[in-house]
Amino acid sequence: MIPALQIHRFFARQASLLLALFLTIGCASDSADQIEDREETVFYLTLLNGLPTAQEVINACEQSHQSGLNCSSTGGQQNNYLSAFENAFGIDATTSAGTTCSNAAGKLPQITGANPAVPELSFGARICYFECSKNYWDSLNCSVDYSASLSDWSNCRPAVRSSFCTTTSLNDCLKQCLETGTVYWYVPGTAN
Amino acid sequence: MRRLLVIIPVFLCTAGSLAALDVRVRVYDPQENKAIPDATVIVLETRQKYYTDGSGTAVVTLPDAGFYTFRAIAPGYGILQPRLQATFENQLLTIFTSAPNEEKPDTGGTQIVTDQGIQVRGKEEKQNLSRYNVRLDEVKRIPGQFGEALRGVENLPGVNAPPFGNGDIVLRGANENANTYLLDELPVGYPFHLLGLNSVVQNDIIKSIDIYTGAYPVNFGDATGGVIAIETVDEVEKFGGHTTFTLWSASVLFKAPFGEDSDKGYWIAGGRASYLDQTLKAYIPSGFTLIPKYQDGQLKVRYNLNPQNTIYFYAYGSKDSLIAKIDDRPTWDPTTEPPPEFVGASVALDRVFHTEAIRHVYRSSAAFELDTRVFYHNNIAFTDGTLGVIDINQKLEDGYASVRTEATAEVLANYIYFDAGLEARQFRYRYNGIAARNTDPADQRTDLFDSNDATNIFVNDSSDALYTSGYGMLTLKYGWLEAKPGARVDYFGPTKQRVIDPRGTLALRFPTDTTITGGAGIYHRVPDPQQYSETSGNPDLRMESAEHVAVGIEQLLGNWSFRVEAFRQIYKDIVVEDIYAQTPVRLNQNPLTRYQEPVLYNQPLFFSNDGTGWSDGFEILIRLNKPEKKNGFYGWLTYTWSRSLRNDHQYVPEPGTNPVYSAEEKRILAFLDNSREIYADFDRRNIINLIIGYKVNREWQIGVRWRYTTSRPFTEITGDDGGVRENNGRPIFDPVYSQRTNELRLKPYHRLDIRIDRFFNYEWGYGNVFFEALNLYLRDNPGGYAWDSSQPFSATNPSITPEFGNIVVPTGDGQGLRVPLFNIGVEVKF
Repeated sequence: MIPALQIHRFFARQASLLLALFLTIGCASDSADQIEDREETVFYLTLLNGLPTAQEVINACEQSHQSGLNCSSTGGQQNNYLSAFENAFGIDATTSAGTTCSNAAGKLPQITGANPAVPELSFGARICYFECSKNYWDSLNCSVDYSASLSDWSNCRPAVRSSFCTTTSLNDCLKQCLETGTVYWYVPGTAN
Repeated sequence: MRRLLVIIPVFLCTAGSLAALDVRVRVYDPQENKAIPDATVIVLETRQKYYTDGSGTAVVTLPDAGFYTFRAIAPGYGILQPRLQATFENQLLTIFTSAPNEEKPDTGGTQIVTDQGIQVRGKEEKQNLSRYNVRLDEVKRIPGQFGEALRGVENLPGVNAPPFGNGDIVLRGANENANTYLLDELPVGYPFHLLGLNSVVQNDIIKSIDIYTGAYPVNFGDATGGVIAIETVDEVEKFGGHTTFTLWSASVLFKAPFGEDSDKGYWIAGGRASYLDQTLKAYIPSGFTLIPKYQDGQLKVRYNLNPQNTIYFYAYGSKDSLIAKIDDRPTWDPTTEPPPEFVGASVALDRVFHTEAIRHVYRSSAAFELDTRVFYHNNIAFTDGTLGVIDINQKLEDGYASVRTEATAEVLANYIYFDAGLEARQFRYRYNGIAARNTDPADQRTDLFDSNDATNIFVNDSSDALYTSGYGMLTLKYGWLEAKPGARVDYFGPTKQRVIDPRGTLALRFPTDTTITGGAGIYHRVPDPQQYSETSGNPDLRMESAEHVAVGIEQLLGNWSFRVEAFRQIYKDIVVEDIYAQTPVRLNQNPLTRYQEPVLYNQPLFFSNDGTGWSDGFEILIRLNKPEKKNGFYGWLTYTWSRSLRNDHQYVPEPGTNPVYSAEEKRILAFLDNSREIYADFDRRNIINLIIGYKVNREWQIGVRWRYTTSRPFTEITGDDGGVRENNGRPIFDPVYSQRTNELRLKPYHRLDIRIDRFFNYEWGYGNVFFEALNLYLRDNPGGYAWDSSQPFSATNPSITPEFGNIVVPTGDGQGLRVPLFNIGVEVKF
């Protein structure tokens, strides 16, 4: 049995040590980062620079619209195509791709109580729709059953794509662009 | 582990040796907090007589370990004659002259014995900081909780609970799912049955409840909020039981000792079954199906092998099932139909948990205790339902087999104690079928008819992994100072993460019955099973973590106690819904397409650890204690001021917009943060509970409760989407929310409840008839900010719905008379 006096001395000696222990535990638990990570900020800005620009949207729109006009012309239903284009994207469509697409990068109508027909699309999403549409029109035999092809294309417009788009090639293209994106293969040990 | 397996049998084998021994018997007045000198102590079995010294203690020699009847005669106190268990040399047995107060003096980890029974206490006092203890009799008869004792914790400081909730509580601003419920330190799958009317643990198996609202010690794991630790009855002197009947369920409990006395142990068995489906049957309108059912059961057995070794067996569990369906009948009248999104919906739910355990407790001749448990705990949830684009059929099972051993040792009497524990769990996880995930968490109201808002996903998980834990804690006492430093280690196999949590408390106990305490610690919690699913969630999720800091002061004045505590808690790695988190590849689990497309690329993980948050506040408790069987006043007043904020760190689009992004943009946006902290959905700034009870005599008892809370925050609805979606021709108007999330609140909630108990006492027990009435002054409390999806945005949609809490009695003038909601119940104890 240790005499009480010895115990008192033992604790008196260890008191400061215990205090230091508690402070250490307390400090260790405060892991908040107090220093701004500038490298991380630069990284984000670099990523942001990779976002598509308005001019890229206009270019994609012009190419898509031109392909659509050509196809509809072959199919003999250019007016129907222009109506479908307006309905799909909510912008005035003419037979001039430059004029039509000059508005393509502007703010598209938002989802509101008054006009829910066209959801707002980011620049990247607009490019997806225009590029996939171009591929669709380019791959068609426009002189055969154009009405059905135009109807399929309309079913893949932004407001209804997720529910009604069944045209495999167009749907796959939009799904790849809007949902999956580029596939990156990560091979451990090869990054330098 | 191998060493442990060797140690346990050694203890089991050597524990049976017995010898003559000296024990110390102390006679103590808990009301006056003083020992009684010059009291006579007689051991009836040996006919030996002793006298207590100046410290109120007598050294008594006994021929052997075992149970003895001690007769204590003290001037002014009469004759006390309890039966005590002598276990080891120099053991301290305390004979109280009356029932002790809840805040007991340090008894050095021995038995506390009164004329009403034996309570085995820990080797050292539990921490005082952020821990509130309530006895069954204090919480069982609180007005307005339909007799559910577990709901009594909702009235304690730091506890935030909705008025008619499902039993989920918020402790000091931590998320509802961050708490852990324990029954004798064994896991409880969920605390309340469906609808929250009954808890899954019967009142009469509960002895007391410890609620730790923060900064709790290292022996509690897998929680970042608080711990609700239920301690069950551990003494049965004679055969008896309880039965209760309510409008929706009935329960029964039996208990009996083994043999003619309680020396060898006891058994307790209880069960409850609901008939809520039958009660509701007459009130369910045509076209609706609603069948809620639940059952629970508990079995506890204690067998004393000898004075040092005790074996326990536990088996308890619960099952809830619900079948609900709304027929798709073409009335086309939005004023009489249910909300259009629910027309044609159906759901079948089953949830079950069960725990089976064998526990061995060894108390040595020195101040040493070893508590070893082998148990199996399992949770099973089955869901089959259709609602809009959602079509779920899933079965989720997560459970574990566990071996846990906990040791408590007195290293240096009155100065140093040591607690340590080890636990190894074999974790079993199965998750199969079709699950549903929210794909647009930024939208506050998921449109279940919009495939952009929700999706079905195939699930096929099966894993068995280790989950191991260990902890150690020192209790250092010197004079007025008490320190409890400790650390805990957890390793969770399914996500392969190891965490180390340092925790500790410091207390200064002054002779004036004043205690100043402080404590801090780090806490971790395993995410929910569906969140770390390898095939439908994010298998790389880390454990959620929290840092707790609390300080407090308590003053005891006779039966009164006054306590103030302040706290701050920081939450990290909270699991949040994340539409940007993706995995490059994932195996296709869809049985129809997996052979054509075996690998899917850039698949959503749905969850990430991006969430953070914090909460702070202070609590005040003024409490008047009353010994259990005494008449008189008792009650408490609590006030909690707190705030709790969260940030899910998800990219927030420009206000007023909800754009569709390309996949490449989403990948970049995932790196963008937001600095917007919002009030947590459950945040309530002020909570007041006033409970006053008065036990008039053995026949009558009356109690009142007044509760005041700030309402929870909500986000204003500013418009609708024009009814884009429809359900079989019925338009569904989806609300458009303001960007100022959770910045508005409804008016405060308050109400007064009363309960009157009439007891009929008999030789075999008592009968109790009680009446309770809620919201006595008929306050129009706000229930919620409700949106009617069958109507467009207007001056009357959204609207504020009233809270349930009154009954309208039909009157001749057709106006109806509002009266308080009342409840009548019957309880029989035999």
